Amino acid sequence: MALLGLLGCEPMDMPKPKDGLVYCSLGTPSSFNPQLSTSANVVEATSLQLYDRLLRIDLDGRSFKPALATSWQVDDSGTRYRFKLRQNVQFHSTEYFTPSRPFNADDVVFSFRRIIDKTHPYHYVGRSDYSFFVSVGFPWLVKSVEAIDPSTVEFELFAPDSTFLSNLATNFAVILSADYGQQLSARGERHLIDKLPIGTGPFHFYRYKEEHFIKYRSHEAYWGVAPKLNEVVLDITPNGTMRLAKLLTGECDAMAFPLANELKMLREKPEFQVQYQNGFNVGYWAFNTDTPPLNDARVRKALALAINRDPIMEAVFYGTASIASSLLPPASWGYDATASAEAYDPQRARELLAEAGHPDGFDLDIWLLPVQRAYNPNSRKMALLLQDNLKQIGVHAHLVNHDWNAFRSGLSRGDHDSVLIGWTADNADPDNFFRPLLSCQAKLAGTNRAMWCDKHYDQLIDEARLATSFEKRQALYSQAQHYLVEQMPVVPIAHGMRTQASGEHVKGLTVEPFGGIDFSSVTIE
Amino acid sequence: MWRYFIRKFNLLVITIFLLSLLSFSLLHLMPGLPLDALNPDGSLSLAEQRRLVEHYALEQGFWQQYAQYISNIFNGNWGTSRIDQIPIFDQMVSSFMSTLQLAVSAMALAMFIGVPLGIISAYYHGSWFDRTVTSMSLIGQSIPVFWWALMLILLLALGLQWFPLSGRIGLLYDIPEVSHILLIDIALADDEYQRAALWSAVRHIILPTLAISVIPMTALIQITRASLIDISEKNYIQAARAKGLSRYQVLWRHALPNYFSSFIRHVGALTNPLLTTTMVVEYIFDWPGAGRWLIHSLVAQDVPAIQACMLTISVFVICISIITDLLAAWSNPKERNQSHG
Repeated sequence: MALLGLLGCEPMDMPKPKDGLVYCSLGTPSSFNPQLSTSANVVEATSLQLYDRLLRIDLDGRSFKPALATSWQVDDSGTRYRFKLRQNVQFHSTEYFTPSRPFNADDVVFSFRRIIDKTHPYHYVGRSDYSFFVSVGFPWLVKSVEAIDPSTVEFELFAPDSTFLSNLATNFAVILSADYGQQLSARGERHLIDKLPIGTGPFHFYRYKEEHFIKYRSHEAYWGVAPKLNEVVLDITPNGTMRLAKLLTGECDAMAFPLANELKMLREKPEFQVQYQNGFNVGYWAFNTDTPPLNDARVRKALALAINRDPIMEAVFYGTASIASSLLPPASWGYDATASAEAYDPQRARELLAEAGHPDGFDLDIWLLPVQRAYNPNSRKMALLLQDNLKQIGVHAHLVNHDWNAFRSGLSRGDHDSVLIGWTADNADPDNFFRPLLSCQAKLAGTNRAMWCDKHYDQLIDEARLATSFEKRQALYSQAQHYLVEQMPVVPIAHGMRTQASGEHVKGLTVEPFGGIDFSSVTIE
Repeated sequence: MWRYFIRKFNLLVITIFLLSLLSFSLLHLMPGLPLDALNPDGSLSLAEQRRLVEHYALEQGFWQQYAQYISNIFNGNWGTSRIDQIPIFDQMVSSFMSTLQLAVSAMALAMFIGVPLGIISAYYHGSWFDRTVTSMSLIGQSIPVFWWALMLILLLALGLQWFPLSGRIGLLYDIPEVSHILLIDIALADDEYQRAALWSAVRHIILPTLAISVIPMTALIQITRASLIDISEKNYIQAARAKGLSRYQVLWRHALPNYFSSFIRHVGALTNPLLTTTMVVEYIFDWPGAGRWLIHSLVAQDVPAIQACMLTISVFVICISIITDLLAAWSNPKERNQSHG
């Protein structure tokens, strides 16, 4: 034991090799290309490290900043977008690839044709359905992508779409190297394109061991501000408690998504810092508007009035969420503060129920979200609180548990009365909340948990999508929110915060509102 | 000696044959067709399925398939992992070597502490020291090893923060795997942070070694103590004492050589519990060894990996046990005449 004591008493901080950072990440990514998958693991591991997009979204979620495109313009018809590309951008030079030329328009064409063009040599490589791009209708929206000259690219759309730029700015719309694609084709090794990735991002791929770690090294010829870290290691640790333990022992410098009930402990320790960011998500309670009595808007409003959100914020979120008064988070430019749901009022709720012909209440199933999410870390606890609230107005709630697959298929069929679920936006455009959650199209696609199909609402959001003037869109989304308060197909409950924790020696790490993590400006002291 | 050797060798061949048959049958024991077991989520293309059918000779009879399985093993063609397409043989070598290093260091620690404690206990048989050591070893033997490992993590990693709790070296060190023995690889690595890397590796191995070594250590204490006490009651020891040799001289000249002649056999018998414990502890400390690999393969239903893991570990245990038997027989002719074994 004396020997052990001697070993242990040596200073903990032996010189760290190079300027490196170890980050305890959520899980093994299914590929190294975020075009293929919307999984949080893939986005976290790859998007902001290895790749760049044509443009970036500003923190206000409204305007765009140049990235690989330095400027862009839309023609008057709203269907032709022309991007001027940045010069002298270098792709990663690694053990498996040496770029023969800098980034140019061919790379943009290659990256987007891969998604929309079924005859593209790489379309079926990786066997992906490009779920993000399909969910926003990208293949049916983009007519062509052409290189006008080496530094100009033009996208032609079938119809104007005000969400197009937002979608290009997401973590999924990354730019790959056409040069690398050709080299792999020539070698007959196309399958490697998503396994040994090449991009223009601040770090390049170095080593990967499944279920264990991913090592990235800094991209020395990065076009932006060169990253301060020489090396970033993602220590793949799916277990939340294990991530916390590794942060405590110093094996990780930063960790993803600390569990809500552990945050208090971390906040009390001065050697760690916890970062928060309001997430672009919403946790809500959706009513199946196809089944009586929930097809009556008065009943839905009564149920919404009956729930008290304050205890939920305390008991379920431990203060890591804000009360949602609309589907849109307050940070969104489409948010309208005047269109907020009425506050807790059980008396008024009983009156409304009586008006709708249910003075004695009724029985109601609540389906529980079987996984933990930032917008709902504990759906059972939330449902128990709701159950108690509903009892006050005579409604008897029954909690229903399903495993993930049964849950999803049951919801698509509309077997539920009501469900506690939520949504995380992929980009800052309000359309990304309104359309996938409540449109008639979403009901057909099986993602509309309220089974709600309303012509007036659809007309509002369609008009907003086609409108090119910002003020017009804002006004339309405001109308949509007022209409939702009136109709109440879903009750917004909370906007969960995205959280991460790091040692105090890690400087410059921020939380990205749309997922992923950016190490390019991080330093270690 | 030759007859003994041949007898042992026969035993080895028969056991390995049975083990390989068992590991081969795993594919057929899984529910569904063998091809379903190799492709549990149905994600493989027809061409890939075709390749699997050829690789395992799945269209032929049971014994032809077995012959194909054995020839694949001898050709080093163990298939590729379903999860990450890395050749299973490479993975096996890397993870098994890493398990072995942990097991050897735990065994070394166990011998270094267990044997002297056992000798002293036997020498001062009945004293307070003996009683303390005996009861401590009894406690050590009855503690579940995973509880003990978790306590070590709680106290020394999370509490005092002396040691890291997972992996075998800090992830920022980049040590290429050449010999698969970490210390040698560090020495070979041309890295300015060599010393720091070595230090990191040492700090990483301490907790799992402590956790594993409890089992062989307590066993060695008890075996050493019991055999020495047993020996000291033999007639020739009594005679030596009667001739006037001191207790110390008797221990040193007669009892210990006698004990050590069967020592290697005891160590051999500890191989199996040692490896089993190591595999459990590996999982707790996230040590990239065979145990962790086996569990990941089980979860992912990666049958070729499970087969490889099972076969390698069991063949290794059998080989060690037979080699220690042979060594014991070579050094001590008396052992050769045992009717069993």
